[in-house]
Amino acid sequence: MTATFDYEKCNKCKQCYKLCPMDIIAWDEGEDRPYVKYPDECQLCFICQVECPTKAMKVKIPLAFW
Amino acid sequence: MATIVRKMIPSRDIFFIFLKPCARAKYAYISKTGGMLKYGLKLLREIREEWWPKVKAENPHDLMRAAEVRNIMTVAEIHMAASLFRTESVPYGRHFLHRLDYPTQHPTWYRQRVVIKNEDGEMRLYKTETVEQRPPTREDYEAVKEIKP
Repeated sequence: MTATFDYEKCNKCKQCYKLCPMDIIAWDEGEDRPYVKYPDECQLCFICQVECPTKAMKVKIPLAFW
Repeated sequence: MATIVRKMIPSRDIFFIFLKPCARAKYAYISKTGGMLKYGLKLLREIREEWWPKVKAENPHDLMRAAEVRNIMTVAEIHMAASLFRTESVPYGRHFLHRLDYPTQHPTWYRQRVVIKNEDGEMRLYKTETVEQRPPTREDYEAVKEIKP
């Protein structure tokens, strides 16, 4: 899993959901929070991490990435 | 891609349901036989004709997986047809092919290569001779030297 959320910090502004260019982040309507639906398609552009106003989003570079 | 068929299969499932267990891993592994390859090809064509029209893609992510699966099917079919066409075993180091029903090299396949062409949507296999491969001689070097200033 490349992108992880800290749900205690998240203020539900939907910035990560709107800005993700590969559309890997989906919105969980029941829980009212974002989640990573397609983790294997993440291109590591870090837009979600940079644009998150509360720094609740963290993207990790996987070890197998070259 | 997204067509209305009576029983839809999510495209991301087709790889795990049909392709991975049946086609490559079972019938075209390291040691091959003619019967296994023929049966694998039959299964693969069955999948392509019966199940492929039922695959649906709900979003671009699924469409990408479906395109990948289609390419994997093409590659598997080419691999199995070429292995079936070449009726000899080739040792490791050239192009490795181990067929249990033809366990040795054969002189009719000496310096022959399998070429596969797409002719009107049909896969055609040809046996073509390769050129002789040898290290360059002194005459070759001198010929190049003459051309150069």
